[in-house]
Amino acid sequence: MPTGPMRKDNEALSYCAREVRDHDHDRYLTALFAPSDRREAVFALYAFNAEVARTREAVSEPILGQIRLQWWREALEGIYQGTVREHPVVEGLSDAVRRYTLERAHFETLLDARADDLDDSPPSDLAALEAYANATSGTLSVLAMAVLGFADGAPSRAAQLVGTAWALIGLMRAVAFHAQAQRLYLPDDLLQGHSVDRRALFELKPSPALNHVVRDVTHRATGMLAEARGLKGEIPRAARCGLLLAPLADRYLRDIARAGHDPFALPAAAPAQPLRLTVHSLLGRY
Amino acid sequence: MAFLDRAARGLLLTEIVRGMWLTLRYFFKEKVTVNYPYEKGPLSPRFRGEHVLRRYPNGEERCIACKLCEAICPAQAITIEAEPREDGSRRATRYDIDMTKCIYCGYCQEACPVDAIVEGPNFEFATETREELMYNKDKLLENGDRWEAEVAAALAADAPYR
Repeated sequence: MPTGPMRKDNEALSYCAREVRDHDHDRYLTALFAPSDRREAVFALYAFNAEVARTREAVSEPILGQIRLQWWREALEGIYQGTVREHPVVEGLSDAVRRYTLERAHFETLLDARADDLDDSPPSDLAALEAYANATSGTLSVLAMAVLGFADGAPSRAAQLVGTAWALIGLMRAVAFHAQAQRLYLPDDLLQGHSVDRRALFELKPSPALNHVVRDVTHRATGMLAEARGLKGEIPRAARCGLLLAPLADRYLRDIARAGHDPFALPAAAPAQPLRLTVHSLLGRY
Repeated sequence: MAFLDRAARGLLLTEIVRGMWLTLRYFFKEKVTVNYPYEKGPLSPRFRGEHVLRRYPNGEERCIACKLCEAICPAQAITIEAEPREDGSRRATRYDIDMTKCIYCGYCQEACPVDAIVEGPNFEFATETREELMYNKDKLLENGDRWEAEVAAALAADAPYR
């Protein structure tokens, strides 16, 4: 295994937890605030997400991505039919599914949305981008909320909103990363409406028009977070640890606003905020 | 006048002085070459070198003999045979790569859903005989143990956003 200061506590964490810590650090931090008996299931969910989310980055041809996703589809089928594939993430996921009776349809939605990643054309409008964000990160948050014991109602709805907003913000932060590979996750109609020059975008040149598009999308994300916080009265305290992505999202929104919504001027990586999350968790805020 | 100019330059050796000055400047500049094999040039995390078969941190082999790499390999360099073990788990009994056939396209690692077969950063595996390039499972697993740190770091570096 790789060496370094982060690797010393390897034995204490499960494989899924380590995967999430190394590959999805923000979600890892939020998962730490889940009740200890349910934490492992949350880690399994997030590790599953990390595995399928990297499909597009891992392959050079769409067909290879389809192969990987098909493997996960079959693994999922196995979980629900009792033939669990030997993979630490699949095994962890299987335990989570059995203990908390998670709905299979959610996983199918997530995998189908990841198949859309393989097609490099941008989403047609903001609604399509939202649908994608909802199907990927929104669904994942809904599943995590189900593990916490709230499969429907206001907590589930709030989780969906927070997860979707999280994905929208993440996609805006990754505009430069995607542009390097000539990929676009900005709504086509907004790009045309603000007449963004795509060639300049792919050459990583900032432009005011592009900043407008990013601002429109982050504005929508801000609206979703506000809507989720509007549901606060209906959300029991035990469910609020499933919504801790929201304070982290605030921080990223602030970074984006400070950079003037220029996706090329964002700070490379935001420092982790365990303390802030602790305060939020203790006060029952999100 | 042109003749006089040329003669004067020749007589005063200005060309050779300019040439020597250039040479002297490069003498003190940073070297552009590396002292291979003691020093090595930088490698991309996407570099596709010698294959490795990885293990999980608990020592178990990652490969579950799904044969996707065998199916996708355009050079048909991979041969896998599998049968269930005594404990019921499915593992490859034979995993051979003919390194003389391999074209280093990287499709095997892209198709592998468990990140078991990976093309590592090693490019120094020249052999004296052809037979040594017929890799078997033991050789690949041994490579995996040797290169795990580099391979895991490269995989993480290549997909920073999720």
